Amino acid sequence: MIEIIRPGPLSSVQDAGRAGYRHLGVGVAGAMDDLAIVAANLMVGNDECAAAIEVTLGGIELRFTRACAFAITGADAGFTLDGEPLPGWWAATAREGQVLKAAAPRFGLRSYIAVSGGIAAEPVLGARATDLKAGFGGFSGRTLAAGDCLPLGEARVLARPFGLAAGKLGLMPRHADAEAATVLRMVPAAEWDDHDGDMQSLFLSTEWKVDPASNRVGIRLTGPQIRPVRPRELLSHGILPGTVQLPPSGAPIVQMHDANTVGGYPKLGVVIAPDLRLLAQTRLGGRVRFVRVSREEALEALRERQRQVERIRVLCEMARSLSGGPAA
Amino acid sequence: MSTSASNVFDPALIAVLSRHAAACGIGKLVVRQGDFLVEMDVAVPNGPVPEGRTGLAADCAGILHWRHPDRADEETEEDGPVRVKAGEAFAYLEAGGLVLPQNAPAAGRGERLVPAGTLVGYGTLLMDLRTP
Repeated sequence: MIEIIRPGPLSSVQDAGRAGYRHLGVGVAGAMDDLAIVAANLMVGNDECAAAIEVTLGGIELRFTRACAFAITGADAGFTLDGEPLPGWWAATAREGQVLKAAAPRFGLRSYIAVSGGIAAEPVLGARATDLKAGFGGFSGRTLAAGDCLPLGEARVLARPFGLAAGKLGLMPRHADAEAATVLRMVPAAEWDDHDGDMQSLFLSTEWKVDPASNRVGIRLTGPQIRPVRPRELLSHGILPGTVQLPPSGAPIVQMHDANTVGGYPKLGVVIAPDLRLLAQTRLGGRVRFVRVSREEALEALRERQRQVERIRVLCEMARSLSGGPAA
Repeated sequence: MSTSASNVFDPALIAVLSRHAAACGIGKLVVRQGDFLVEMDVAVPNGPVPEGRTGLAADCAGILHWRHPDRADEETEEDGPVRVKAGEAFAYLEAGGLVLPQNAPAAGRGERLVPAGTLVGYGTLLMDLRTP
């Protein structure tokens, strides 16, 4: 088990998300940085969809009640194991009683802690992700609190620690240039053409600021007001994580993993799936910029994401082969 | 040394063989399977190591980093001998996107023998560690 000593500002159990229930009004939830959680799971030899802990802005402290392999990925929050510093994107073995602790990340927002065997929360509608808005799944349908004891799957250990060169592999692209605006690729949505060329150009040329009133449901952006040429009243219709909505205020909202399944605001576009993690790692007050891409470019980006996961899988298998592999 | 492994070119097996060779002072290994033959030069410390000193050798191949490659901009490079704790990663080897720590077997003051950024092989001496 893992005992939570201090949960930090917001920590929850997440996995790859709850697919297939949007038609019933159940959102996907799941890890905001999908690549980071997949990498963490692969590093400890888990299935890539296993449940792990998503930590927002660091600050978590937990105790391992038995020896097991663990991996930390995502934002480098200066993790320590019994006070000894750990690099980011790192896998190691904790002994029974050791304490893993995170400070605040210097870059990025969300870190992930995977443990061998995964967090053995009871699956709800096929997933262990916490739906924080609806209050189910994960650990009691809520964020983690001090004193929580998380059940683990089958424990394994690593013969030696290893890490991924996150900078070189492009896993944390903002690390080198934290001040630059995050570039998000988007495909235009149904109401894009309700805006004239000037408004479209203004939207694409603006460096939008991430509003502090952002969360796992949606990222609110502040900047110039975007106004349609032909304002329309829309009936509520299905929306996806990544949908860029334009409410009457003229300030866009990007729907994220805990988004509603329907909405009635006009849609400017949809941020492509591989780039949603970049937005999820952009800190409050950080800046983002949109670049329009074609459907084909979006699909190629998705294929590149899959190739990236396969590269990580091979590297992790190689690391375990060099180190003797995770032993039972 | 005999082996029943089906593939003698397995990296893990070669690492084990190289370790044994280095420990025994063997400087060259030849591995043959079928029509394939691999010759390896094994780095062996020159002469006996004086008491209170330990040569820390790379346990795999890779590009040497004295600091973790993703934290190079956050940590200060130390000049001269560095203090290391027992079990601490005194160096990192980067190989194809993997980062493998090189851990000190004992506490002491170490002198770095190879410049950062060098591609080192298994057995390359990285640090001369003076133990108390």
